[in-house]
This record gives sequence, C-alpha cells and structure tokens, in this order.
Amino acid sequence: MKIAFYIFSSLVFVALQTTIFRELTFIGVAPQICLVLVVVAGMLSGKEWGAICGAGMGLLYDIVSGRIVGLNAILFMYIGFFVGVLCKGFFKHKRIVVLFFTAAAELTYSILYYFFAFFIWGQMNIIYVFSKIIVPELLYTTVVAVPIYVLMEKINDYIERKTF
Amino acid sequence: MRYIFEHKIAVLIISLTIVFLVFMASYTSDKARANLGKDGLSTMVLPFQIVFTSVTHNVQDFFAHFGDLEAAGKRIEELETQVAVLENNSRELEDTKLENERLSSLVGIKDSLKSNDSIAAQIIAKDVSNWYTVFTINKGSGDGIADKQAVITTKGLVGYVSEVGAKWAKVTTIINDGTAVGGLVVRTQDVAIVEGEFELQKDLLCKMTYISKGANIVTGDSIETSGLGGIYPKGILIGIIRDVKPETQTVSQNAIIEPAVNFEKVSEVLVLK
Repeated sequence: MKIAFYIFSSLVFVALQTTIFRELTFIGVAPQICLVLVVVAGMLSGKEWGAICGAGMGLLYDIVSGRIVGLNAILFMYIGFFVGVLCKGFFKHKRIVVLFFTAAAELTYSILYYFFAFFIWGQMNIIYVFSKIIVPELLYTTVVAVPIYVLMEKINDYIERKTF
Repeated sequence: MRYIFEHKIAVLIISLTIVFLVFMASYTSDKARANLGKDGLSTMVLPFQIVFTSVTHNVQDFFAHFGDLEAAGKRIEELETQVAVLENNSRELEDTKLENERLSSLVGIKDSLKSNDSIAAQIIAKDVSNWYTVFTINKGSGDGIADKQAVITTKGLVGYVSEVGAKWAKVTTIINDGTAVGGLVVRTQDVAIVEGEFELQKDLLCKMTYISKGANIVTGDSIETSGLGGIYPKGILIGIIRDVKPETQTVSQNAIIEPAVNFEKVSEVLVLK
C-alpha cells in the first residue's frame, strides 16, 4: 500500500513540477517539489522509506530530464536517508521542522548538483548561480514544502489507518 | 551473512550507490534514442503531464480573457487597417515570388525550407529543473520525429530535437547552455555563431559570437539561420540584436540576441522533417 502511494506520488510530483509549477515561477525559478517529496517521505516513514523513495524519485527525475542517469538518484537517496535519520529526535512541531529540513536538503542538493553537473565541467559562475538559481529556488521550495507536508501527512495517516 | 540481514538498509544504500555510479559511468551524451526502460518510465509520466498542462493552459486562458476583452476591440480596428495594407503587400510579394522562382530555377538554387514537411506538436512539459531550457513535446518516433530535427514556430527558431521516445521527444532550445546555431546577419550577410549561454538563459536571451571585427552590425539587426552546420535549414528567423559588445582582446565581436520566439509563452511548435 505504502509503496503504491509513493510510486503514484512520485509520478504526480514529477508531472506537476514539469507543468504547473514551471508556470508558477517566482523571479524566474520554479520550486523543487520532487525534493520536497523525498524529505516528506523521510520524515513521515523513516530512513528506509526515505532512501527508497529518494532512489526511485531520483531515478525517475533523471530519466524524465534526459541527462546523466544516476546523479539525482544518488543525491536524492542520501537526502531521503539522512532526513529519516536526523528527524527521529523531533516529535513536536513537525510542520516547522519540515521547513528546516527542506531548506537544508535543498541547499545541499543544489550545491552538489551544481558542483557535479556544471562546476567540474567549467561553469564557474558561482555568484550568478547562487543569486539567480540556488537562493531563489531554496526560498520558494521551503515555502511550498509546508502545504505539501500537511497534505502528504493527511494522506499517509489515512493509509496507515486503513492498513492496520 | 548475518550482518547483511541486520543492516538491510545500509546494504541497500551501498548497492544502489554502486548501481547508480555504474549508470553514470556508462552514460554517453550520444544516446539520443531513448531505450526501452527509459521510454517506458517517461511514457508513464506523460498522461499526468498532458492533464496538468491542459489544466494550466485553461486556467491561464480563463484569466487572460478578462484582461484582454477591452483591449481586443481596439486591437481589431488596428488589425483591420493592417490587413488592408498587408493584402496589398502580399499581392506585390506574389509577383516578386514568381519572379524569384523563375530566376532561382535559372541559377539552380533550391529553397531549403520549401522542400521540408513539418509536424505540428504541442509542448506538454518543461524541464524538471531550473538549470536548463528543454521542452517535451507530444510527438515521438511513431509520428516520424527523429533526432536532430529542427524545431520552429511561425515566429522563428526554437531549437532541435535532442531525444526521442515513442510518443514524446525532447526539444533543446537555442538559449540552452551549450547549443550553437549557425547565424547570418540579414542586412550585412555576415556569418556568426549564435550560442546559448548560462547567464543569459534565465533572461531568455542568447549570445552571438565570432562576428568579424569589420562587420557593421547594429542593435535591431535581424539574424537568420545560415544553414551551415547541418541541423537547421537556411533562412529561419532566430531573433534580433539587442546589444553589441565590441571586444578589445579578440579579433571578433559579440552581440546579445533576443530570440524571435518567447520561450516562456510558446506552446505549439513545428518539427521540420
């Protein structure tokens, strides 16, 4: 049941990110809702699901983007895993915690992606990348993360009640 | 063995890491034809993308309606006078065209655009990330689309087909970092290269390089494809020069190009066979 939930969510999130959210741009950037799903999976279902959802989501992301297959899969998998590990200490105020985790995950992801996909190939315009892509994307994604978390939490609760 | 059962997740992560690293290592950028697994997974996302895109367009159209209504009346009047002028022009052009055809056939030049068939396609998705300007269209190899075909709109050049699946294809735009098009300044007939650049991509602009120092180019000059390079036929409008940047260090000059196509608004394209 849970696996079906995450597979379906991944497909929907990739489709949403490439369509509706691409039109809802804020100073030229769209939010990274695919990464939010991975963070939410790690927080709701623990490190195992975080890693599995991250790997699957990342692989799908790589395939849909049509570039090097594997880079996003690795990054997403480790992000999902570490979010699952680190958020274990937080029981209360999860809706605020999700802000913090999304921001941290997004920053880590953007910097690593930029490093592996651009910097080592000679795109060294760090100031431009930070001011025009990484920071705006970080802010936008963090804002979007809370409603996504609330929604996914509700669906997850519903599924868990049905299963047990 | 016991260790493996006790640390399932660690083993899973390590093995997946190795698998993904192998994927990355075996990747070459020349795989323009999507393989079965890739094609299948992309096709699974397709129905969602089609639904969400049509929803987005409908909502946008709905709101655009109100703003446009007032302006529309005025615009109709303007356009009617314009039509009269254009009809007259087109009659003159028809004459010129016939004359041109007659003369061309005498010299033996073949119009490269005329011999092309085109396939109409809709943009159903944009790139997943903010780092690239790549579109997905709803026609694929089943509709006759192949790798490295030129993609245009009625306004001008969009880009080329960079990846093909059975029911979808990826179009890399001319403003995407790393793409290059052979360009021609229409007024002066100077040849140059139009390149997508990372810093200009977000502003929907691109760069023209390798223009000889002596070339007398000015802001507002229009740029067409030169037909050199193989992918793009000659004579497709690329855009106009926004800014000329003379370089002191090199023997050539640079210019910023504003593409004729608005890459944020484009929704329908033509793929040239």
